Amino acid sequence: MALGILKSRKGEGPSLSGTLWKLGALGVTDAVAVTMIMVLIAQELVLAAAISIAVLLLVNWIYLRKGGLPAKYLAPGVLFLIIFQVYVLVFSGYTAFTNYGSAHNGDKALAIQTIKNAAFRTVEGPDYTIKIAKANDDGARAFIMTSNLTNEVFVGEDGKLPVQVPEGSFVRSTECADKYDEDVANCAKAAESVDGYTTQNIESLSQLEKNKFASIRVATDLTNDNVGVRSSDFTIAVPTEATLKYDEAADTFTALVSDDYGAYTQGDVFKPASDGYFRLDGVLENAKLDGGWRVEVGLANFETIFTDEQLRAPLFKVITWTFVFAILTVLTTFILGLFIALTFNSDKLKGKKIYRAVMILPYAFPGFLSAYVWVGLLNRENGFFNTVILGQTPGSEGNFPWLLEENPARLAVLLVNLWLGFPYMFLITTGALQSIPPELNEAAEIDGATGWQNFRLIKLPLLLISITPLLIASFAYNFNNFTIIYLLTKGGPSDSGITDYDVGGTDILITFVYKIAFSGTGQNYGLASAFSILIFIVVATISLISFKRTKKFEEIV
Amino acid sequence: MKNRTRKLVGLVAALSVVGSGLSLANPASAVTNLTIWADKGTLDTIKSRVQKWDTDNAAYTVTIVERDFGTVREVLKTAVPKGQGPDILAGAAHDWIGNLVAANVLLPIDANLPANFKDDFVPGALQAMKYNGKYYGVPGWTENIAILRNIKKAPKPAKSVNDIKDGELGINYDATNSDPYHMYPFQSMFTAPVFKTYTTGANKGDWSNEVGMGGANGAKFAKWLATKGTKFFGPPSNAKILCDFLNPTKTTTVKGKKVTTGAIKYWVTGAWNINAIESGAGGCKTGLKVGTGYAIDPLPTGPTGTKAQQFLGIRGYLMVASGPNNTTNVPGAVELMRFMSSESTQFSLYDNFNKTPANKAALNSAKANPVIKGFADAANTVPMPNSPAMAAAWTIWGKAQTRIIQGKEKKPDVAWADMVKALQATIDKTK
Repeated sequence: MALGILKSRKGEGPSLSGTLWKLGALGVTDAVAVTMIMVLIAQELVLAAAISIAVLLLVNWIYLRKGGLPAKYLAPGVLFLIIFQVYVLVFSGYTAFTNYGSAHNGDKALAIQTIKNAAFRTVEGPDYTIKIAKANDDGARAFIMTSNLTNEVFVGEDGKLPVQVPEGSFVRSTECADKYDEDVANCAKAAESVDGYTTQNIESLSQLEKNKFASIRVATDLTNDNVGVRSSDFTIAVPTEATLKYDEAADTFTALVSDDYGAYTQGDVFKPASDGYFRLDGVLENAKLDGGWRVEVGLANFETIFTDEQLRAPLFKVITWTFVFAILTVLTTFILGLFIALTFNSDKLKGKKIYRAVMILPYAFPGFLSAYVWVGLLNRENGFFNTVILGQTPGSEGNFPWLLEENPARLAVLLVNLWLGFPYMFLITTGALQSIPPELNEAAEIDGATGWQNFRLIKLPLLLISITPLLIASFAYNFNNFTIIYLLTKGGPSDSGITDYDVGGTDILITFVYKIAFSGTGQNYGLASAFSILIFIVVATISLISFKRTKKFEEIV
Repeated sequence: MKNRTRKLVGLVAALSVVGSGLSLANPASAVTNLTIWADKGTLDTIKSRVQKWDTDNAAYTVTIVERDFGTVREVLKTAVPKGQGPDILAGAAHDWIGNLVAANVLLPIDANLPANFKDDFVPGALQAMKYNGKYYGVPGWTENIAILRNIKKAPKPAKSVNDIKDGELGINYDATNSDPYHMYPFQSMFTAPVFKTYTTGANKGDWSNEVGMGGANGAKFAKWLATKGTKFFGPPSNAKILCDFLNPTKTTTVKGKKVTTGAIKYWVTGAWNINAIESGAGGCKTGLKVGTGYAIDPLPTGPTGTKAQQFLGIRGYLMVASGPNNTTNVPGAVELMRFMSSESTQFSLYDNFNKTPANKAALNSAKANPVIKGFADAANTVPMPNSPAMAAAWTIWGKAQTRIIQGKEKKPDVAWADMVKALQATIDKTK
């Protein structure tokens, strides 16, 4: 048998097929990792590349060496734990102490580039349609410039005034200077080539060459180095003036001119300020240049949470509702689940299995689907609830506004969550009820206890021992039950008074935080991370206290 | 097999896999790749013209990537710092510009536009692409609202807002966030502009960062909104307005209650609803034709005779900053953007997709269409503001309007003043 040949005898270490499998898997992993590392190196992400190499070597060492079996089992798990849990936690923890957000979304180099990109203004003077060329004698880079105003032709070199080319020493193109002018017969035509220069083809130039052409400044005023005709697209050259100059050594921007819009005056020096902007003299209250970067801001985000007046009222409201929502959800689902479990636990009931199966359905359906179905059912004009159950006029604006006003929306959220959540409670209470010895029940009956006494004094305490931890878990889960809120109401209706935070009537903390982090009104990842840390603290504290109490409870019983 | 041989086999295997990994990293092609991000609808609109440019310019290959514009700004803000942004954002509303500039996302193109380029567009269109004195894109098409009138139900235009009775007006506003865009004409009737404008300097006439809709005029508007309430401003659902606008007035009894339909005579809306009106959609089978069935009128004047203004919205092509190596893609991207703003492209977009051209010459040709002419003639526009705080402004502003319309604010003028204060606070945060 082929398999038999591949298998080695017992005691001689791993089988050959096992080794081949191992090597194959390791080879694929290595190949993917090496490709990844090469990409990282190509993008000059040194740290990421170094970490990847270290991990790669470690993985190979773990699997190629003899022995060390536990590590072989644990390595993938630990690796993914680090990537998907530890890293995420550390990163959001770190983000809470930064101003990462819409206007501070990158590193300082990006901000400097942004400021440099906008550090010019167009000035009065003719603009040109250009071709790029090199002088035949000394190879100097130049623009062949055709004025869009007078149609005269010039040659311009870096730092020099443009030199007019006499008629006959240049050749005009047969196409319109303005590519999108459709009147080819009468349109202005730009010079294509000039005697003594070789026109260059933009597409065939290297990046370095392009950058050199892009840095050409044809002077218009020999006494002012800031002004000149420049081009970044090699089709059009426009007279511009540099407005800000970056000094790399000092890490400052200096205003070369006064801004037309009053953003700065000539001679102003902008230094990096502690909030991730270049500000006048580096002072926080002063004017800034557009272009921010991510910096660490210490406890500023936490300070905002506790001191921002715009935030106070909505936050108080959101916190209250979060607790109400989580507690009521746990209570209602538990009570309904328990009630049904007790009913279906009765020996007299026939067809229990079918009933139980039906009861599980809401739990078996994917929650996403149910939530969307519920949105339709609760529609004001034509929803099933209003038109059939409440018998209101189909299509009427006066129907009950289930998801459109605050209190009805809160009720709707609780109802839908009850629908989604009671089967779970029903399941676990059924299980717990069945584990209560029937003798206790019988003993109570013999002692003359009523059904209610039996339930209250015997069953419930026994149930709670095993179920309380699950109730706490359910509370913690619902405290952060993003899905149901977001799918049903998106936190809305957005009707919680007038504040500059986007907060709605059914927003719980986690959806509120989501809006701060991701909604279109200006992302603030730092503040959102700070919030999530606080949420974690709240949930952890409550869970800890509750678990301790359960333990005591257990000891008493 | 001995251990050493086994290791050797392993090494060879591993090396061969590494080798195949190496060959994946192929050298860069000679053609420059340009990437455009567009929303689903915009993608269909621009596709054929972009493909034409792509065919005409062999040095470039253009890829249009479909992005959900509901979230595209967040995506851009994280993609650009990583060098993963596109070259052009197509069909973006111009009020995004300030917000995106503040997030290091856009690149100014002033130095890439010839001086006479500025004369190619209708007034305000290119100005709308300007933020802090620099152009960050070129206009694609324009959007403005007017008042549509069902001629059978209202033979004469409403001259003043007082001529419109409760229930006769259709206006789109979302019951939770309102819609300051559609509501702005009514606000402007009270001379309560959203921001103050600069009165001197190079930016004379541009919106400033100072909220201008507070004060006595704002209070007047707030009180007027409260007295009009939901009886006047409604119903909110778009499909319902359409049916109601198209159908003749009729009273029926549903489950013992009298229900009136077809009361809407006037509809404040834009050209995007014309197709639905002409063909009749959403259960309203018969449409109306312009001129005989419905008319496009200028907005009515205010209760005291003040002329109403509406926002001019520009959908444009924005230049995305691609890091330090702008010289690679900028020439091609600028060329493509100029092509998209040229007369022939803009006329083609009108011809095939009913987009109102921002290009003057294309608009003049398109005015042969009575709908385009109607909206152009009804326009008394100001460009929508594009400051970074605009995204936040729409929310706060709309929320206040809704609460007042729905009668939730006992003192509408105080609520309005609170809103102005909160909005100013938000804007000041970005200083």
